[in-house]
Order: sequence, then C-alpha cells, then structure tokens
Amino acid sequence: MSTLLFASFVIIIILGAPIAVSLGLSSMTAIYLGTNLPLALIPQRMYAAADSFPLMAIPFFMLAGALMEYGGISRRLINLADKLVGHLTGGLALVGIITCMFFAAISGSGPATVAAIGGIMIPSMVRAGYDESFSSAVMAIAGSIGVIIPPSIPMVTYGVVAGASIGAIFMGGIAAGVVVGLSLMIMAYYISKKRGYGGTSEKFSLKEFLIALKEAFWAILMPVIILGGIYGGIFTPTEAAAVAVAYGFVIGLFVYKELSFKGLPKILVNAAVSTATVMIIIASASVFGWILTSERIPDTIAKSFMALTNSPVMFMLLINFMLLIVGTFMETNAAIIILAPIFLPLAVQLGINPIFFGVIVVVNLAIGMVTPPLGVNLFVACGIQKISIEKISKAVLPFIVANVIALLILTFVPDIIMFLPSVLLK
Amino acid sequence: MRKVFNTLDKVEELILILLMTIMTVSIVIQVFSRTILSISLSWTEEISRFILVWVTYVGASLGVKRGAHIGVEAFSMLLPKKVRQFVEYIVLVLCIIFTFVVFKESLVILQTQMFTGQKSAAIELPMWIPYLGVTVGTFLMTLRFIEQFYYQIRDNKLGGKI
Repeated sequence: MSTLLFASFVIIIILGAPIAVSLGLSSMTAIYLGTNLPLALIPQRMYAAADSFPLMAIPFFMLAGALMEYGGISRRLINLADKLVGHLTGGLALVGIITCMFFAAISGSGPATVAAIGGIMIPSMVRAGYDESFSSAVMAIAGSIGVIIPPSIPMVTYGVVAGASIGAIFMGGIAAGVVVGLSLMIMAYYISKKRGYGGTSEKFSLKEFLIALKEAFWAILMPVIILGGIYGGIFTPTEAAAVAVAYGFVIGLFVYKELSFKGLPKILVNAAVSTATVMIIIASASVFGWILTSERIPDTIAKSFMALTNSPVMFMLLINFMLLIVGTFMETNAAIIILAPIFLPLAVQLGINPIFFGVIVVVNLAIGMVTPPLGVNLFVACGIQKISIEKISKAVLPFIVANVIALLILTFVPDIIMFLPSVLLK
Repeated sequence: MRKVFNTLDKVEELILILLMTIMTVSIVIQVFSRTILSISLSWTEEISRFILVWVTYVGASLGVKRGAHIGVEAFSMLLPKKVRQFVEYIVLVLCIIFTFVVFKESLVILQTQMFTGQKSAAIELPMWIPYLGVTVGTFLMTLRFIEQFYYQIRDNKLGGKI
C-alpha cells in the first residue's frame, strides 16, 4: 500500500498538480485501492488538522506582516540597513540581506519576505548597476531567512507535530538566522568585490543612523513585544501573533499613517488566501502522514537508519543531506508534517534535543525554498524583475554553498542554536 | 457563467473578510481579558478554531481562482505545447476528482454529526457547523477547478486561432 501511495504521489506531482492535491489524491488512491477503510477518513483528518489553536498563529503572522508592509515598514527598515552597511563594498546587496533579517523578525514567511523587501531592493540594485540575476538571487535567498528568524510559520508547524515548545524553537531560530545571514553577506561581499560593485557614496554617519533608527523604532519594537510576551509567559505564540496584528494595525494607521481603512479588506483577503494555501497543504499532508504511520513506515525507516549509524553526528549529517534533497521537491510545511514524526523519535533516542533538531530542519528546508524545481522564493524573485528561472538558479548557487556551510557550522556547534533557549527557559 | 463566478468571488471575499476580522478580534479580546481583567474566556479560542477551518477551506477555493496553490511545474514545462495542454487538462480533472470526493465524503461526516447531535465543549455549538466548512469549501473548490477547466479550453481555442 505504501508503494501505491508513493508511486501515485510522484506521478501526480510530476504532472504539475498543486502540492495539496498531490498529497491528498495519492492518499485517497492508497486508501481506496489498498485498504478497506472508509474514504470519509480523509475529510475527517483534514478537518482535524485545521481545527488547531497553535496553527492559528499562521493567519495572524501573515496578517501582521502584511499590515506592517502596507503601513510603510519595508522602506523604513531598508533605510535603517542602508545607513548601517550601505557604504561598504556591495552595499545594496548587504542592505538587502540585513533588511530581510529585520523583516524576518516581523514576518513568518519566506516568499512574503522576498516580495516585501525584494520588491523594492531588486529594482534599485539593478538601477545601481548590479547584475539582474545576481540581485534577484541575493534577495530570493535572503528572503528564506524569513522562516529562520522568528516568528516562523514552519517552526509553528514543527512545534505542533513534534509537540515541542514553539517559543523555545523561535528562540533557537534567532542565532541560526544571524549565522545564515552572515554567511550570505560574506558571499555577497566577496562577489561584489570581484565584480566591482561599490557602496552608496556616503560614509557611515552615526547621526543619520540614529535618525533612521528612530524612524524604524516602532517596527523594531514589534518583535520585542512578540518574543518578550511569549518568554515572559504573558501569552501563547498564537495570542502573541494576534497582538502583533493589533499592534501593526495601530502603528500603520495612527503612527506611520500609511495604512487606511479602505485598504484593509484587500489585506484581509490576501492574508486569508495565503493562510489557506499553507493550511490546506498541512491538512492533506496530515492525511498522507497518517497513512505512513498506520503502515508503520516510520519504524521501518528508523530501523534502516539505525543500521546505518548510531552516532548523533553522522545521523545529523544524513538528516541534513536528506532534507536538502527533500526540500527541493517538497513544500516546507508538508515536509515537516510528514518527516518530523519519522525522524524526531530517532533523534531523541540519539540524545539530540528536539528544539535543536527543529531549528536544523527549518534551516535545511529554507534552503529548499531557493532550489528548483520547487523554489517558491525563486519564483517570487523572478516575477519581480521578470528574469528566467534558469538565470536566477545559476546566480543563486554560490549563495546556496554559503548557506550549506552555515548549516554545517550550526550542526556541529549546537550551542549556537541552543544558547538562547537554554538561558531563557531555565 | 462568468457573471456567476464573479459573484462567487465577491461572496468568498466577503466571508473571508468577516471571518478573519472575528478571529483576530476574538483572540485580542481573549488576551486583553486575561492579562488586564484577569478573566479567562472559554468561548474565544473555540470559536476562532472553528473559524480557522472555514478560512482554510473557503480561502483555498479563492486560492484556486487566483492560482495561489503551488505545484511543481518544472517537468510539465519541458513538454511540447500540445502535450502540455493535454497534461494541464488531466491535472484539472485530478483536482476535480479529489475535491469532489472529499466533498461527497464530508457529507457522510456531516450526517453523522447531525444524527448524534454532538455539541462543542465551550459554546455548545452543534459540531456539524464547523465541519460544514470542509463541505462548503471543497464544494466551492470543485466549482473553481471546473471554472479553470472552462478557461483552459477557451484559452487553448483562442491560442489555436491566433
């Protein structure tokens, strides 16, 4: 029956059907042809997956990010980053990466980060003489930091399936995001130096930096409220996300005054559709995952994994390798729903912390967002400057290498990720 | 045909705006009431969970219209134009089959829920109401995929003439 499940899944997905339908229809085929179970199981599981309070953080973080973006936050964050690193070699590329790191602390989605920051940065980089495919590639991969630095939608999904503290995973994501961001900046600097991309002419001025900081203050306060509230035990991640929506609404409407009541319906509908496309993938992935579990596939895979190695380091390397491959074909949340229940028990058995494991999984799958054939961030970035997927795929390669190096550093030095969670959750 | 679907767009959008607003406001009230007034509410979490189900499935329908559901198109792009058009039809038929069967099977659950008269824990809402979100959503998605099928035929015909 599992052969039926995987075979039909591969066929349907290669034909080009939406991920949610591929997962759902292959599950349906397997249940219908391979078991005596009723098909009503499918809507039953799909309902149960969506009826979840922790997952409600997804629409709220989508909404909060959209409100801040419409409220004029992207421009202010870019300005702040420009005053910080704009004067260096490859200034605009560095500004783009740093802004994505700032914006990641407000948004929980990779493609949304590319759209919000790349939408402004790619055209201005091209205008300043940067190569089109280089500019698009930098912003596509920098956008993937959106899911590493908290809040993060895949981390919410992982917390739900793994039964781990979403707050602690968020905390682990901060240092991971900084390491990944630094690796991209080093690569961008190196390439810019080789190609002679200069900085913006002005020298660093503390005064201008402080002015930009003041302008962006209300935006930067938002992650402080979200994370502070979660760690202070004041609210759950879902509640924190709802507070972020209220905060973004008030700041956009009354402080930055770039948001209007007239724009609200469109923002609400867009956030609902983005939420729905993620949620329906989670729902059908949960049917798929349920079949795997009922067929005891996780046990089988676990046994063959244990036969290969029982060293935690080797295990993590194998996991990294596998996730990098899976990430290229599979949507992030679907991969988490299906794979976490298979590999987390093994990881725990080998003494690997579930929080650490979760962050590593997300960093891996974030790289999958910029690798074809299913690189969501690449598609968004291509759409902005209207360049071909082939061109951007080639330009993004050196950055993927940088990201993989960052991933290996994070894997071999677990303290980088675990420092904040262990200090704060004592 | 087009008019019906344009009306459907508006109806779906309106439902989503209302639901998203109620969901957000409920949870903000929940936080406010617990942290400031020290009153723990039980209805807010339940009602917003049910709304999330509705947002998921109704939103997914509008997502079909907007082409928001991602898939792997790298392989079908490699095919010659005629074959690709044929594959696109097959994909839409597969989508229609999936959403229709889920819709049909969700009626079974709905029936059971109505028959047993199960109610939710906090607000004692009949449980068939949240489940109805799956039914309505998958029904609308079926319509949407049929709509896409119709557009596909029309576009291909136009493409053939030019």
